[in-house]
Amino acid sequence: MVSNKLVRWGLCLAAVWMLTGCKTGDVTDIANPGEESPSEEEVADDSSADIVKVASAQSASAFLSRATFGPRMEEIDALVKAGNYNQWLESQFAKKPSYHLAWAKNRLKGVSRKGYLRDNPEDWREYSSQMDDVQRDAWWDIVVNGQDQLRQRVAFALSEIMVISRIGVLETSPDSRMSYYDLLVKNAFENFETLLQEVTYHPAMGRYLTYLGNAKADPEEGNHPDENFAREVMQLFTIGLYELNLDGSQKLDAQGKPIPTYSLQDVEQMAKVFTGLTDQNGAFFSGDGDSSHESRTKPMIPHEEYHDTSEKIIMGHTLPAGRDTRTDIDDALNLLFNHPNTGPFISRQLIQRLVTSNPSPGYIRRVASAFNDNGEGVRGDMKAVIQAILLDREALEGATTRPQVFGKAREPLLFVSHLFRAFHARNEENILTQGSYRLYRYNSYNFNGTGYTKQEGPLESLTVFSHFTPDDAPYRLKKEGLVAPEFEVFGTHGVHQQLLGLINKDGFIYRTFDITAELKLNAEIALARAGKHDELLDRLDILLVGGGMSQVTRNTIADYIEQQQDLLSDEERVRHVISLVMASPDYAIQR
Amino acid sequence: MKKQQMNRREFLKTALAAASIPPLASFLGPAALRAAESGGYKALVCIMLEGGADVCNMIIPAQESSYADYRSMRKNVAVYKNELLPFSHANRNGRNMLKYGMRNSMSAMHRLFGEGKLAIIANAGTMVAPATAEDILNGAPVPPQLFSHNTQRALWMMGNGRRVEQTGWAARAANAFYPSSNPYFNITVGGNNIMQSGGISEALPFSEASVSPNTMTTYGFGPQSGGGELGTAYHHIYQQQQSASNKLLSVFATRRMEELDQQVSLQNLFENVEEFEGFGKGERQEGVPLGDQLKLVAQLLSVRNNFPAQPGRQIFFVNHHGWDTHHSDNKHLSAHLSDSLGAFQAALERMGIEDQVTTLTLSDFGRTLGANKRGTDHGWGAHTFVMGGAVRGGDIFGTMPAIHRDSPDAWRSRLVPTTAMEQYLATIVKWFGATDAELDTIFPNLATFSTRDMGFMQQA
Repeated sequence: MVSNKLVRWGLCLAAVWMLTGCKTGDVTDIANPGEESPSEEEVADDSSADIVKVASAQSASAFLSRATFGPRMEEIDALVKAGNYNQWLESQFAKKPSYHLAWAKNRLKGVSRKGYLRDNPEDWREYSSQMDDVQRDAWWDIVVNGQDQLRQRVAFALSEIMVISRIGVLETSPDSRMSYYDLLVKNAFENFETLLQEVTYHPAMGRYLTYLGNAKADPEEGNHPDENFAREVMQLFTIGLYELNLDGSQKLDAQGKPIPTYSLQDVEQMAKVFTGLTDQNGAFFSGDGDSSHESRTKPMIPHEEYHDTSEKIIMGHTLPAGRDTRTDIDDALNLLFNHPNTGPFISRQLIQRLVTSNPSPGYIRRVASAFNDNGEGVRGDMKAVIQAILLDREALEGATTRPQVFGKAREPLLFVSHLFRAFHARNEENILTQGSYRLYRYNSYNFNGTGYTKQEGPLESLTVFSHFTPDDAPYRLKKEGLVAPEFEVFGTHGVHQQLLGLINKDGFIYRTFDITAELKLNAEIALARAGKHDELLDRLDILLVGGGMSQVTRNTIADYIEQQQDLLSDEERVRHVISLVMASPDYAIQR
Repeated sequence: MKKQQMNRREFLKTALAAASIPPLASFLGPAALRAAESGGYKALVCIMLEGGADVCNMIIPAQESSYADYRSMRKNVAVYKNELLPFSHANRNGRNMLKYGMRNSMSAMHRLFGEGKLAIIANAGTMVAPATAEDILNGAPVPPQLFSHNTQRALWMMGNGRRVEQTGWAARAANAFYPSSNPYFNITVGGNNIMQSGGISEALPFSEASVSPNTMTTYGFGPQSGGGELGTAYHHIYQQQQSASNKLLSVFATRRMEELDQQVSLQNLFENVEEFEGFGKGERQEGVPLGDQLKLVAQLLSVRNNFPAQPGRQIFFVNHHGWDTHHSDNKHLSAHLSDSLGAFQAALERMGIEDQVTTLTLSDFGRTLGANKRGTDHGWGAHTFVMGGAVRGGDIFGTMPAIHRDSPDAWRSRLVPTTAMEQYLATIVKWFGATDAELDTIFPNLATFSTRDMGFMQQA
């Protein structure tokens, strides 16, 4: 069987750090269940275009946990009724995008400003700080209530790969950050090359990775172009550090060593490509104070006199001398887009964000193949990639076929979004004031980004390496050749913060200190009132856990209900049961 | 679905009883206290300057001609001469120029250096084997993925410049010092990190000087929740799921159980914790300010005897974000580093443990000698700082690089390290109490380098 070797190298990729550990071979035992031979994969490739049936309400819920910000019961029912996933995907592909900046601007109508920051620095500061608050409201409202769930979920995944952050230079540019997020939303179902281009030209990325106003080397000064973006666009956004096979495993040289994708010289050459861009603000070099509001959301433009027009040789490809900024940049991005690594590198990360931390090599290969060719000769078709990820049989059956390794930890933001969605959280009315002056009323969850955790927020990671990287793992998993990136956000305060913070503050996940959203528990309370505790647990197992609640967890909760029968009201009992379910490890690991 | 009725009440009763047993017992086994036997309590405080510190804008040649070279090399990012706090040093190894300057944001470190409490280790970095810039140019092997943030930072924390390890050097130190049990050896106030990962126990995290009494086991989900019953049910679920067949799930449950246990075993940890003044928040700091983190370390040190079994050795991890200065100067960062170190050393002196605690810096890498328009890019070798009463301070150890356009110490504008980070770290871990054999386990590539003790610590 070929798969042993494949699996082994696949896991090498799964833990890039474990270059030596891969020789031990003990990792194969874990990954073997569910691994298939290449011949079977051909079948899987062919079948990907077929109609994929919904097996049960449990599977529908698990699917929606991957493809949305958490299922609602009526969505599960609708999907079961429709009977197949393809139709759901098609309808999601067709949904109108919800844009975050437009949402925020709409809320901030009362304080809209015109003109230039340099003319009205105080006004802009006020506006920015209000928009900063509203940015989080926009995110929560759209992920909870937006109809374009799949698009938003993919955009969120992309925001954890092509990272910019509120922390750092963009703190005072919330409009720029939202505009950047909107480009991820807009391109979530388009082509990866277009996405990469728009990311590259966006002023938020330009500022965050410091190539906005990046000038060619000045021989007088003896300086060199900024290498920040040149390096990270390769290491993090497209090809990664080592050459990969289609299945995500590392290619090895004659000595059995992984092969670096690029050298220091390649980075230096690439840095010359990303010279000459700045925002649409008139001057090439601009400080914060010079930046107009409008320029923060419009694509960067070239100032050719600052572009390095010398020849660039990047990974063996020559970009000839004497060309303008856009030609050089678009060619370099095309080079990265067409690099054989980009398919498996991006595919693996999207699988990790949506479905499972440790996809098999076969799964990565199938998705990367869809990246490389959507079946109609088009490379980088995001719809094809997303469909391949969500409809792969490893995604749909992994809980059964790879029970030991399938799944991923739910990150705190997705935990809360699911809570809000599953129980139809109603937001509260707030009043925005400027000094003592009432500007307007608006509805908000009053959920201050990460609130209780201070660890995870949309576009709020500490560095371009995001909240976690694809190979992060606690040692107990790492030594088995497994990764669990999301475990990184449970560390400093651990699960502790996620669970206790959410549930403990006021006795329940309802009207806590940080979250003023009101949950609707009518259906659950009705079951409790009728004493239908089994039905209640069945319902929560489907709605929250996707059918993954273990017998031991179920028994313990059933015992608790029995024990508290006469001590707690129906509503209290329901609240406690939901907290026990959502606090359980059964729920924490999405499968 | 049918409920399984078999003795569930009794089952739960058992669980209740189990939950009330202090889990501490398991930590009180025959801990190998070899370390404690040799010279009382010692601690290391490791500060990661995350992002790659531009140390060439922190320690600057001050002699006339060498400053001119520095200035013409660094141009627009160079620190002006009138912004330097000049210093001379003991020059015990006779290898370095006598006059350097720290940038004037670093007054506290300048003072500590003058008082002999701070030493500079010149041009340390990840190395496969000793090599000069010329060797590198001629193809001598270099560490994997030079210049990549996470990879290089990881090598520093794994303690091997030759290859990637599964475990960190502080975790291996924990296992060497306390082979049977070491739950309170590695402590982090700077988040998860590879340096402390892979020992018998995972690093113990703190974010504030308190242990929340609102644990699931004590109060359930809160005072209004009906007390401990809910917490007991929760506890029971986690206890059982430690043996779940899904590995992510079982590790998740196990980690949570450890946290719950720690909340019980550490509930009196911060009794009589001391308060400390003088830790600022700095300007434009990203993440948790270094001052806040070091203040928390000082508070933890003030209650070191409250840890169960009173470990004789502890390693603290601190993470100072924001050093990736592609587009900026490190004036604010260096000021905050300096002020925080000053406040921390003062706190140690107040507690009378300044000779027992050694503070050291690590970073991803140094930065390019040459500048881009507004900052510098990823480099290789970097100076580091060691502080404490046991440090032979006021001196520069190792060889300072020449900073000019044709520097023999640089390769493509990056300093080639003249000190392997293992030599730097091993000198400190030797002071910490490791034997020669243990040092070779903790730093597997140490034997490749001839000098094992750089001489900057007062070894017993």
